[in-house]
Amino acid sequence: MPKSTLHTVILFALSVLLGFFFTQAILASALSLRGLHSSIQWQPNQLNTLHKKTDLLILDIKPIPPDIQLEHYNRLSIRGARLDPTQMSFKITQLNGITQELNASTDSTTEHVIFPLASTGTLHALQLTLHGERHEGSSILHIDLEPHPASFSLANLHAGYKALWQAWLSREGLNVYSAHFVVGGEKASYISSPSLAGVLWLVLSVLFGWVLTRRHATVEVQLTALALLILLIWSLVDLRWQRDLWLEHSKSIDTSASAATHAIDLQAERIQRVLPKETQRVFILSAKPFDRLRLRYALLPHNSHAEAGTLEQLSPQLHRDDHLVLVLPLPGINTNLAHNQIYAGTTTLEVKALLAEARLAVVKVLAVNPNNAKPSHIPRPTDLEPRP
Amino acid sequence: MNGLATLVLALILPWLSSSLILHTLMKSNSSAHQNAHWALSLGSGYLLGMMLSAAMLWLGAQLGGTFYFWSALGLWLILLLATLVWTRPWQNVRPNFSPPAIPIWQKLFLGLFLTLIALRLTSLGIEITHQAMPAWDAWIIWAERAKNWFYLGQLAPYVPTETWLNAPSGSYESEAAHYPILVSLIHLWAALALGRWDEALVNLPWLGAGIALALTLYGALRSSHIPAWLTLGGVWMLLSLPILNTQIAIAGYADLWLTLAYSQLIFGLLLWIGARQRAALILILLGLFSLPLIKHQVWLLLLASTSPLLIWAIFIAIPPRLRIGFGVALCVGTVLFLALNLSNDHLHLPVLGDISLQATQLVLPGLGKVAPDFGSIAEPMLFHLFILDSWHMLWGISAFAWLILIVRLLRQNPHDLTLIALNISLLSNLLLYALSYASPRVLPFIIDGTLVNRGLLYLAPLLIFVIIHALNPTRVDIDISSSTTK
Repeated sequence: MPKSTLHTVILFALSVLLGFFFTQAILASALSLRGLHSSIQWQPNQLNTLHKKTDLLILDIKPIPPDIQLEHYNRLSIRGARLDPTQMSFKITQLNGITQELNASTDSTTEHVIFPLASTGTLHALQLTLHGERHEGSSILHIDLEPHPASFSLANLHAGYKALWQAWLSREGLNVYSAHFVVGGEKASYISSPSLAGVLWLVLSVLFGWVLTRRHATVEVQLTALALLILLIWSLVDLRWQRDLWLEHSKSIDTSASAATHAIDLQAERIQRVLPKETQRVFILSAKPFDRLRLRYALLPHNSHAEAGTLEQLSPQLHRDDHLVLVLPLPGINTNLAHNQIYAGTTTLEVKALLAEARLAVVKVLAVNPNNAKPSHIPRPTDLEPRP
Repeated sequence: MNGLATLVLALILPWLSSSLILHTLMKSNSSAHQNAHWALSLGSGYLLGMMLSAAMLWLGAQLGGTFYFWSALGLWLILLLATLVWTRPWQNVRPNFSPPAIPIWQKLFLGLFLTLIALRLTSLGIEITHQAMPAWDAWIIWAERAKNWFYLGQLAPYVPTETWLNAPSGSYESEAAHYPILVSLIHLWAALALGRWDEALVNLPWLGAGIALALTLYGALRSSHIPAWLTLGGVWMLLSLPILNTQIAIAGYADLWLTLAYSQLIFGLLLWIGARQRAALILILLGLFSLPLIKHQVWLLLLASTSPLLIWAIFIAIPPRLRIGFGVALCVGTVLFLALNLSNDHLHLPVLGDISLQATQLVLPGLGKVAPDFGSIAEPMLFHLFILDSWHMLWGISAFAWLILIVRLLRQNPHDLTLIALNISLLSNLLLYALSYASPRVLPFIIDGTLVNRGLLYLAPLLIFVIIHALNPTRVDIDISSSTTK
């Protein structure tokens, strides 16, 4: 290899290393300036009464999001009206069972009560206690768990650096919107996107490479180096995707991309066993369009209609000998299969049950009564459940 | 093997037969193009083979009421043997031709990229053969029809949902009753070969489509004199693209086939304009013919985006002495067409629909009112193309490559026609996609993320072609005379 070429190769390798170092430094700085964690807010309807007396009220705050690390947050606060900070306290329970009581700081006001936080560990439960008699007109607007303010400090930089690697090594599942995996790290932060990091790394490496080699490398050599640089960084970014693809192979049917459809396919197998082959028309009713359409596919070649969401929409079209598949529970529909009847609004169907499970029923329509005639049997609550 | 061997045979026979025929038609005198033409003919041969297989099933059902799969497979076997005897590919080896020596570092990269590509195809192969029809569009549109036809043994009609209740007995409901049937017939071809409806294995043709796409890109790049190591690097980029991988692994969508068909058309046009290779004409014809057979409406956008190159390609295909006459005929034809189809504020386009101008509001067929809202698509586009990893870094690198391409174009004298054509193609795609994505009818699907990636998948091979051309370190003055149609 000619000496000049070797020189160029070494300089480009140096550019790649410099580019990588600066990419991490820039992104970690951006993360530390932006702040790594967003605040968590609870509304009044998320406060559940645990204990209530005239001089004591204990409220349980739910839900608690998973993996809330308390060291990332510096205070709890309550926004409201006519609050009395001296009568309020929080009880924090960590995942390991340790509890801690927090009292309001002296700079609290009647509209904003602040509880300084200096805990570590994972948050498990949160309770708000109000001592003494409540003031008339006092109300809570919302409760916030507030993160440490963003700042450019060594500690934040270190945390940002750790968060970057965590995002790059994390794995995401299927996107429900279309047939592709959403990959790319924490969606909460654009900054930690591996694709963005790859582009930044590439741009910085090219810049360093151009500065270092522009005097002695020909255009051809620079283009070759650029092509290799792109393919190298591309392949490194791809390692993450490659790992995700191979991990997908090790998944069982219940956790793979087919998981959502597999459960419905099993239902369809049971339906197929009871549905006569010569069936002309099958109507599928389910509260979820996804279930209806997948069942239609799984029941092929039965000729099914899967577009109606309620029985009342369907009833004018139903005839004797049509078959109904019901994925239960269905809002507005009472199934009384013990007495071979289905009620929906003003419609009563006389049916013959072919399959009756807790969450699935297949019936053959014998008669449709769309009038207001009383059914021959008034269902009692115990009748509403299909036979096992 | 429970039908798997027949399925492999049902994919290989049409593929090889069509590829051999296309290779014979593409044959040039230039030894340098041999490998490229093999790759191009294998890429386009797969699409042609699947289309002809589907056509045989359709024809059988129309004439005899059933599919005659075994007759069709037998016909392919006879066709393959006849083509082998006719073309004698083993006699085309040129003993006097010795390829140029390749430096050791390039050999290393060739080996590395081949290994990576093999690993990826293995990974995708495992996934495609284990997923039970997971793709939404597949089981509500394409595979649904195929599964039904397979069990019924005939092409039962599909009607829109609202008319199903009053439709004659034997009609099935579908929201996409008007969609073309080619993709469903490909599913059906696989199921008939298996002898059963296997929710995973009927998607195996999608793996073949991925391989055909890679071969088409390889052939197109090598036909443009790109070094083998860089060409394979480009193919690796394409086959490692997450959005393409998922279209293969979670198979059943029509978009992969549309990408394959569009690649034939766009690469054919670029190769024809750049070097007037005979192979290019085959690709253009195949692309033009197959696009409308695959997916409803989208083909119009793709055809519109290639229209400047199509006009250019037609213009240079005409002998210089006839060009003025062609230009005049085109103008007269346009005026006549407008006179016959323009009434009040409407221009009626046969098959496509109406273009109208109502109160300064332009309405286009398939797109609706042209009232682009570019502000609303900016955020989702940025998120999906640059932040999420569906595309790796393709869009960032493409933007960079386009810049290099423009610089290279401005520095060249005389200008490389391929580079000019690439720039025109990028501009027309950018303009038409922006108008389409920002239009009120399409915008909701861009915002919810269901269309943004799939809709742009068609452009992925073109973008990689652009990147590799921009990075091409070898300056080659293409000898048009050596590769022109003789």
